[in-house]
Amino acid sequence: MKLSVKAVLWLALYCLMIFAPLLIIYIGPRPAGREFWREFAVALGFIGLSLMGLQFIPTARLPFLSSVFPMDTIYFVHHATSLASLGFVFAHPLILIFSNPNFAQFFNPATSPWRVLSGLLAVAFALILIGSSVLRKDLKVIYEPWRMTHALISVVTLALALIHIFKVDYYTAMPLQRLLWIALPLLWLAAIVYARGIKPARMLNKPYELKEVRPERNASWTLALAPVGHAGITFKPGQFAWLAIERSPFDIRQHPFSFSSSAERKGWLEFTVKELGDFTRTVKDVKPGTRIFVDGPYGTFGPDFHDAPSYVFLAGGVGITPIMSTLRTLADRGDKRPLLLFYGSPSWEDVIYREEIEELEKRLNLKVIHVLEHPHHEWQGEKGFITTAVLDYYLPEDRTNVEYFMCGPLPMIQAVERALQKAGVPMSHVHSERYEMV
Amino acid sequence: MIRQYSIRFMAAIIALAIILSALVARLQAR
Repeated sequence: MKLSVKAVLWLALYCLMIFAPLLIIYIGPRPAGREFWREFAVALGFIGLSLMGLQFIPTARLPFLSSVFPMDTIYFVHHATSLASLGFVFAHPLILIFSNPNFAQFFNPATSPWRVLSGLLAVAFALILIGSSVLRKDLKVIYEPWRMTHALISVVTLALALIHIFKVDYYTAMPLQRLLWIALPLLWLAAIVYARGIKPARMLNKPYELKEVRPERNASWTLALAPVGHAGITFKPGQFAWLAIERSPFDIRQHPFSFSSSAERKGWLEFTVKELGDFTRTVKDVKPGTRIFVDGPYGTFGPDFHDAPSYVFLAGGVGITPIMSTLRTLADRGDKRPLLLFYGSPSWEDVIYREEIEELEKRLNLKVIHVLEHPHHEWQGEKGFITTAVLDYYLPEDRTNVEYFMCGPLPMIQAVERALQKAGVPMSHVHSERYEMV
Repeated sequence: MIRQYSIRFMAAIIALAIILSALVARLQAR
């Protein structure tokens, strides 16, 4: 089945699951209606809850979803739908109060009946859940404890919301409606069981051993892994995996990294990691021999997913890793298609894989344009950032028969996306990988 | 590009949710 057809089918199913509560309200035998605003508030509450519960599906890293949609887009939709669900969940009690101020008496937690209190607590937990996620970086909350708390609060929030629905028992009184509010949570639960039980159990049988930790330029380190007792996973260049380093695969503390090695090198995986955060600063201290579990491959980034007669790559700093995997793979395959790499780095000394890229220029039909933010005095090449002027100068005349892949920090991606657009590149040919997903 | 599509998709979902909720409420209301 074509990728676009699959995508449309998944989106249709996604919409159906969001709007199922509304359909069931109307299709099923239903209790007598009440005034408009009360019904509207209930409908919004149902939508908010179904949206919130569906969040377990994109975050379960389901292979059939991640083979259709880019993982950063899946996470973007997760963030956006979570915010929308919070809006709907908040609108539910607010509209009830505004439509009938008598409802306010139920909102005192000291005297409120359990059927209302569970709903109030669910809204409060939802606010904490999403507020702590949006403000995590500003509040300087450490990623790993946040992630564990995030998973726990999300389950508590949904459990409270379901208690609220069943205790109020207005739209759960009819069998079809009751069935829906059992089936939807079972679906959410299935996603949790898969992500936290089935998948880690499979990973447990396929461990990897850290063979070496190699220093790279610009405070980056390459981890080289070999499978223990199995053939190892196969991946396509540009894809990535979640690593559980020195931890059980059941541990929620896993981190996504792009493969940097050649996909043609079987039984050997490399990941290059830059010291950017709390976890990545510790990577260099991991000892060879350490047991590592790999969850992957994921992603739809790279030439194997987008065939074209020639390719342009745009990398910023450690964003070179998926592109390096691609270049190494294409070299191993003897690929002779024209390739152009725009590579932005802070300085000449910070160009990760500098020497190997020079070697790859000899093996591939590859031209590399280094763009340095802080060049040394003798530097003759491009300076500053990858701008429209730089692109215009080097890109081929025909910019439509090319696929473009870029990877780097978010500001770089946004700036380069605009520059490509100005340079007349069709945006449907531009693919990006953001390494700030969560 | 895909980000633009997902923003539009999200906006459509939110708008549809509000419209359908109002519609269901209107049909169901006394």
